[in-house]
Amino acid sequence: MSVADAQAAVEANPVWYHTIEVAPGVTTPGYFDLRPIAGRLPWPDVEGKRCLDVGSFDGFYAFELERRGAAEVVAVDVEGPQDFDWPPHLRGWGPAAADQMSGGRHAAGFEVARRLLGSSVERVHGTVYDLDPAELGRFDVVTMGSLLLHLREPLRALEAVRGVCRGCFLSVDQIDLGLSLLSPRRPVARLDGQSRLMHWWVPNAAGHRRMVRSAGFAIERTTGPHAVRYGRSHAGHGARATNPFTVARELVAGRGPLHQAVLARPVG
Amino acid sequence: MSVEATRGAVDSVALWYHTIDLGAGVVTPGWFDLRPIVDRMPWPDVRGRRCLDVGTYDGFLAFELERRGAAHVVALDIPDHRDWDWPPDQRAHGGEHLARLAGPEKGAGFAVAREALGSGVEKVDMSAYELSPERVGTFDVVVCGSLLLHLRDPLRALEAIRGVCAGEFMSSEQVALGLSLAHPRRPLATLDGSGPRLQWWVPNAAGHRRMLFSAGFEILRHTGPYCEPFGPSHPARHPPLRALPRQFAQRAVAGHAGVPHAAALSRPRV
Repeated sequence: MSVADAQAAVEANPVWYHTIEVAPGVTTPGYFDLRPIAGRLPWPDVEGKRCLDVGSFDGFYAFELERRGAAEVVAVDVEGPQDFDWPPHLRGWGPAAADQMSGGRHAAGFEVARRLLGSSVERVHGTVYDLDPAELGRFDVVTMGSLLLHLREPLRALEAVRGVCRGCFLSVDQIDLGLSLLSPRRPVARLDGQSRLMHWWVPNAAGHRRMVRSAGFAIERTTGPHAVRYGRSHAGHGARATNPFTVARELVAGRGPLHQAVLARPVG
Repeated sequence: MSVEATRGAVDSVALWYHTIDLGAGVVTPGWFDLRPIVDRMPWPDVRGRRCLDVGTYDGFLAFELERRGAAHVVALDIPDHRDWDWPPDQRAHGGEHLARLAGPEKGAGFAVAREALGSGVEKVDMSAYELSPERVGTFDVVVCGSLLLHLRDPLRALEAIRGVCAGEFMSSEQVALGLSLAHPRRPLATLDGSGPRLQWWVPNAAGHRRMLFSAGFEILRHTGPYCEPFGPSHPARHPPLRALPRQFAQRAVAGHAGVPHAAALSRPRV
């Protein structure tokens, strides 16, 4: 496939969540660009391993697992926005609005990227809550990025992850900088649960670690905070901050939502 | 039932959670005594209405609904200590440990109190998560006290409660006092989720109200923080010296030493 064909295929997809280089010089215009932090995450050895990416969306982590030598990669995501955890007052029109943006095909970019990358990642539809070892088997490595904050029941989700994890779990999720500085050791989260961003619990760094632990994991390594850069489609991309707090924060931690990465293993 | 028989029945219960006045001078030796603060809660008018108490334990709030004139009261609780939301590291043995402390029969205190009071409250064995109109019908008034902090997925439980609430919902829950004072408007919660204390999310007062909102309720009125006093058998009733400054602070801020709570009256908005 020529570069022009690749470019055309990328442009034909109305919504890109991830920024992925799908062909030499052809990069998807995602909302978020994980490429600058991908190398700094506490990756386990995935060479020859059976791997799962939960809440895969356009598949950035899944393709990264494959690139790092995984033997098999399964990418799980919901079939459509009706399976998101909408707050009750958005449940009526939220899914239809999301469908309208994406042309009725949630995360259609995954299939485009998979084809252009010549990838053999397997796509499975389902929610994190429904992860079932009887259906999918168990995995040596599980990744989950920026999903917990979008879940009404993050601890139930983490326990479901533990149920299919027989090796390592890499959790990269959004944290609140202010709460992390105010309470370095005490696990605290702020609750949204009402906005269109579909944010629920956003913990401080200690809270993210406690969430992982209280779902039955032991933490091996932690990195961050990492700012996940805005991609070309995000309104924050290229915008210049004027609020002094934001400027200071960006100087300290970089631009974009802050994340912490935790590598953990199931206990027991 | 004679006073002696009532006393004997009260003594036969291994652990009383609620302090309940059973009449004729018999008061159950509970861990918590809601009597001094019960009128601070934002009660709706319950007269002649069909009411539900979720997570009733020994039934204090259910009997209070009845006392306030409810036509019919259903009291809901899990039937077994193993049914709590144990953290994974406690799941294998937590139920047995608690059974040794609180007696093997989960609803023993409720049954004793119900008989002694001659109450018509109907007990239903069910967790908050399982509530549905198909299973229990709908209620004019639902109350729930000090339950959410013991739930791993409190918002799922609140949505289930909304599903059976056709009128008003009064929620009284433990709140983090320091976080409530430092952040009066920002919804926050601390997370425990480890160890045998069975505590998960403890919000500040704003967080408690946001939990209700994001489960589809609108707040009609709410209280400031108050402390739910320890009952006669709570270990903190006789605190070590180092705990005294904290208890004095609680008395100053919230009126009693005990567990800081906030309550809200709400109704389904969706």
